[in-house]
Amino acid sequence: MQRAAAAATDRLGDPRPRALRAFAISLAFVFALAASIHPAIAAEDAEGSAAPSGGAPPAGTTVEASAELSTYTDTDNVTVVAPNARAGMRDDAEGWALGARYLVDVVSAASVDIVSTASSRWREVRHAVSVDGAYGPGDLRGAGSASVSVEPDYLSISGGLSPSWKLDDDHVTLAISYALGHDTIGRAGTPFSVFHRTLVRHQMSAGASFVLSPSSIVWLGADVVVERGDPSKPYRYVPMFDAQVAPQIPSGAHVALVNALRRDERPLEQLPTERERYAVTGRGLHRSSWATLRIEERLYMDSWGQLATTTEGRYAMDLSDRTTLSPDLRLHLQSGASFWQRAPTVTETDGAVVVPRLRTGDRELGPLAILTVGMDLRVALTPRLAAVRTALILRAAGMHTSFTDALFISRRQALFTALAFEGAFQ
Amino acid sequence: MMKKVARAIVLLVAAAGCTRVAPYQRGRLAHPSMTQSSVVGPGEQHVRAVQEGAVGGSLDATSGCGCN
Repeated sequence: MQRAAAAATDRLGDPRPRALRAFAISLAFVFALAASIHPAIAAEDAEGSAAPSGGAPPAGTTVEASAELSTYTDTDNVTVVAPNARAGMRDDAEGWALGARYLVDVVSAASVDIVSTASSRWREVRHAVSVDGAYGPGDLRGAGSASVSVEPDYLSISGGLSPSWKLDDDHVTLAISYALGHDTIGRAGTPFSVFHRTLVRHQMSAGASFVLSPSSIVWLGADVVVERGDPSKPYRYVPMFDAQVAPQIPSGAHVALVNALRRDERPLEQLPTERERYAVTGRGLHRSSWATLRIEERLYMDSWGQLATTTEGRYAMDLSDRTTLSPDLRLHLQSGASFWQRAPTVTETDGAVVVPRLRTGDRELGPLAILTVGMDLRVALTPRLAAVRTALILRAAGMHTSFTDALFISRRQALFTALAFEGAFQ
Repeated sequence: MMKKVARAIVLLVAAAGCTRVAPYQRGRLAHPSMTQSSVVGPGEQHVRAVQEGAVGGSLDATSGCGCN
């Protein structure tokens, strides 16, 4: 995925046919799953065993399973198809839960970064497995998770613990968490034993939720992430310019213009090897008789000089007992890192060319704005409190990214779709 | 700034302390849509992680519903 991260935008080709094909595959995948459990639903309906909607849920262990097929395609010729499946068990009365998820990412890219280096389209597959569990029959609850993500040039292993306490007769809940991540960064086709870098990540979080009324909850939280290691992409070459030429390079400059004006030097990306990241998050939830409003704000800063704000709103409306429609809006704004340069410049001293010590072409480290407009449609195939419960969820979201100070690209449009099937039985 | 944040937190705690919600009043709090967890799937979370410079905000703890 580091090459996927390095991939960005171009104006080559129309991604819509690929998106439609991926969406059709998603539909077929989910409906095949739904059809496979249809006999169970039919049997339940025939016996009239569905619990009345106002009754208590059946006691005992609940087995849950879900499958999702998501697709992402953008105007930079990046396509991602990502099926994932999750299975789990839980017992609310006993207070325990166990689960596992398997996810595959298939990334295909011919983005402008790749085109600018005269490389051809590439495809890469990532496999990720995660397990999670929780136990806490009383006011104290412990949760843990672990995950492994594998791709040809990147191995990521992480794990974490997250205890929480219910206080004041369940009016306040405190939670803390610690997660450790260990990434091994390599190059495709080269064994890790020959070339690799290590990136270690410590993430500490704390927060609390407060009941404000019979229909409102507020959450306040803070995160600190400490990263140590060199996260520089071993594929990302950064074009260099003379100081007097750099001002002539406009934002979104075409590959041909960049190649005409850049110097011969094209060093590899070099990022700082230490990073501290801080975020505070506030989230409010309010439930009316037929809808739920969710508002979230996150403020972020880090030791690389990036500042960001992310604002989200979502309104989940119950159209019927079984159908929920949830439009959502998300706006992410961020500034560039302190070492960000749209057109990095070299200095010459006594005939020697010196490139900037820190340099990057990763436009996600530059200033940008991302507006996401999405919609979820959730259709329950069975009554909410039935012994066997199934649901279909369709999500579509459009994303517009504006890069205000980047080479090659000034905007990107993307379409994300997901089709999921959820099932639970006791 | 820090003083304002601290004041807001104190006000929230006080507001929560003043509010008493009996178990029989928690039907809306227990609704599935009142979850603090992320409402988007792993695919979209991954897209955000790749495209945005910011991280954080993923910790959650559902409360108030009277459920585990």
